[in-house]
Amino acid sequence: MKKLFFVAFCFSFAIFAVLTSLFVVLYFRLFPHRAIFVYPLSFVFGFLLGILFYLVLTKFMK
Amino acid sequence: MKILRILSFTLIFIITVFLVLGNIFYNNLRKYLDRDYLSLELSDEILLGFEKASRSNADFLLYVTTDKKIYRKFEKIIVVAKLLRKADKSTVENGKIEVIFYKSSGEILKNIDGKNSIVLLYDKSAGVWKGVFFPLDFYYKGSVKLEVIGYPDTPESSLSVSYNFFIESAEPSCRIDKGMSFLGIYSLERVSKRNIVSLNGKEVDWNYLPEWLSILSFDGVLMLSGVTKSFEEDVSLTSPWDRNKVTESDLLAEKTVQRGKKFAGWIKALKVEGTYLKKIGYKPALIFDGNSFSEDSSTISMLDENRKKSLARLFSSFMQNKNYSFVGFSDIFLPKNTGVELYEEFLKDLQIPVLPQWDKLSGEEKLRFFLDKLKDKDFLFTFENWKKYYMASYLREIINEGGHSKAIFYFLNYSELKEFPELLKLIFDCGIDFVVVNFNESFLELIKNLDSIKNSDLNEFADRVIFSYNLDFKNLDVENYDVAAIENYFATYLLYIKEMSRKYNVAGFVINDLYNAMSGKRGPYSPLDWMYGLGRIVFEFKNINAQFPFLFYYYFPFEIQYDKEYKFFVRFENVSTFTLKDVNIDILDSEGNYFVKGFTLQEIPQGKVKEASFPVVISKKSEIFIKKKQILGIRLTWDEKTDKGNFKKSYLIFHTFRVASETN
Repeated sequence: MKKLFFVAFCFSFAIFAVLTSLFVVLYFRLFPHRAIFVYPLSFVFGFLLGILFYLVLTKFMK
Repeated sequence: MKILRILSFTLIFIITVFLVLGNIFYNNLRKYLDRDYLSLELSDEILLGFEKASRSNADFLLYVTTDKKIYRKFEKIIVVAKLLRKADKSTVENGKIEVIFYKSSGEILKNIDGKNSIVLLYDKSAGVWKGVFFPLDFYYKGSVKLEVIGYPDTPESSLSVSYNFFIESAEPSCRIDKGMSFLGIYSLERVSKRNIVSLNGKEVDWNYLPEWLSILSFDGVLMLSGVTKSFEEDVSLTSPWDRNKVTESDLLAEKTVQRGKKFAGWIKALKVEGTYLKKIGYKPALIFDGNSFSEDSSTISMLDENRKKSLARLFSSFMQNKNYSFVGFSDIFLPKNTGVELYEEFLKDLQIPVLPQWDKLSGEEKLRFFLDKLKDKDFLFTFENWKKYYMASYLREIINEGGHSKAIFYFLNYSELKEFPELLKLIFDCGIDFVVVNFNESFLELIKNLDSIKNSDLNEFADRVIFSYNLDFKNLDVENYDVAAIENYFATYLLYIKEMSRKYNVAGFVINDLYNAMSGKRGPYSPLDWMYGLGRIVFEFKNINAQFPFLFYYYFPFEIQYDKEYKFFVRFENVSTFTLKDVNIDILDSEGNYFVKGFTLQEIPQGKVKEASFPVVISKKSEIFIKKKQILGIRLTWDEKTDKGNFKKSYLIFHTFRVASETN
């Protein structure tokens, strides 16, 4: 499994990036004049994704 | 751990699905996020005024304009913007536009809801964003920089564009002469049906009114001319005014002008006499009492188009009547908590979200929604501020329709000014040239209020203020104070005229009113006692304003015994550019009987002083009422030769005295 960790990490990173981009785009589409809040919200969103992906990635660390 | 892993997989999956679907169907999501608003109507003119101020970045174009370039204070500012894609010039329908207003100092000019900016709303049919701005700083005048920030619906930086406009205060279109003195006729009843007392103490009809103007040297009459009497049978939507009152105003105006005097008539705009306005067909104004609302049965709603039209028609007819020198209004400005029925206009102007399917709701449901909001103090504050803008636009509309070929005045009660301290500025910014400020307070209260008058707006606008004080014995008589009510009335006028202006430049005064002096409110004093008092006010006021051809001084004791002879000393100084001829002095009692008739100085040459004295014996008259002081009338008449011919001029002033006991 350890050998797959690097692949899983890269794969997770890609999904992480896509999801964050989708979040930012959706946010702008829904709340264009509240753009100022996109930075803290993206941070919160990324933190949440990080926790979720940590749980997934730990499977490949053994 | 395994469960947590499954859970996190599931959550990642759900988030992914939500984000993908959200990005595909975001327009549908927006429907839930954007609330319902009432649409603002725009004129075509404003939509053609674009292209003036625009800014673009790589992908978008932003345009902005306002409905005017120069605004008056208390005038709403309509802002319209467009956000286009550069490539195909299509509108970015899902974008948002926010507008911030800056004073010339760089400070933010807040909206009446206390917010630093307004968010424009998209109008799909016109393809523009629109919004209304109401400056919270009512007194600000000068340049305003408007910064429009467009937020496209893509993760790109916003783009902004600036635009400038001006807020100015209105200058009076017509000025009135300084030092005007008016005799007020505020009677709701027809003047032609009421008798008055003549100078010789006899009861006469209203034809004698112009004679009184000449005797007391008033400059004109200020009369309540337009009234709606809701209790009368023949009042209707097409003919709401008391026609008899309008006709007699026109007649009195003609007679007044024939005497070389001025006539000012005013209209009671939204208040009716009696409580049957619904019977006439008018919409009543609604009052908010903290929880629910009630109808004000004597105030017509500003939404009533019929009233607005008939008001404009009557105003216009007075404006066109050559005998009217000034035309005015009263009762347009609603007190606090009144005018709740204007809620739809308010929600539209302030772009406040409303309940879904607003148009399908009943009037009761809409009002209930609004009343719930009014319970919030900030919301109520915003509504009251917005009302000032609405009332100003109402008054402006009537003035625009009726024309402005002569000076327009507004009749204001001081209590209204206390409630809305900014009212005076508001009135002047609507195009009103001068105001009549009427005081109803007691004499003692007015003396206490003197300091607040000194520091009020009245002082700033003194040269556009006509002072009026309600003649009412119970307000003027002070217990345990040995001064006649007439003296207090006279003193109030002089004190207020002095204190209301730093430069003694009050535009004038009006007596409120002739019929208070002639009947009900005169106390133990006779109508003639009061008329002598009113004459003294005119005399002193003209003296202050140097409108006399001569300076007049006299001496007569303030304490006298009946049937004893006293000397009456007079001193005239001719300060005019001509010779005064036949200067005559009469001394009269409270009933118009002469103690001295026709003491005459044949001639007082220009620049000369003449002194004289003559004997006077005051005899006792049977008095029904107990007066604190006795009153004498001193009448001065003289011939004045001008380019237009010879005129008989006159002044009538009072002298008060106490009766000394014979043992003294």
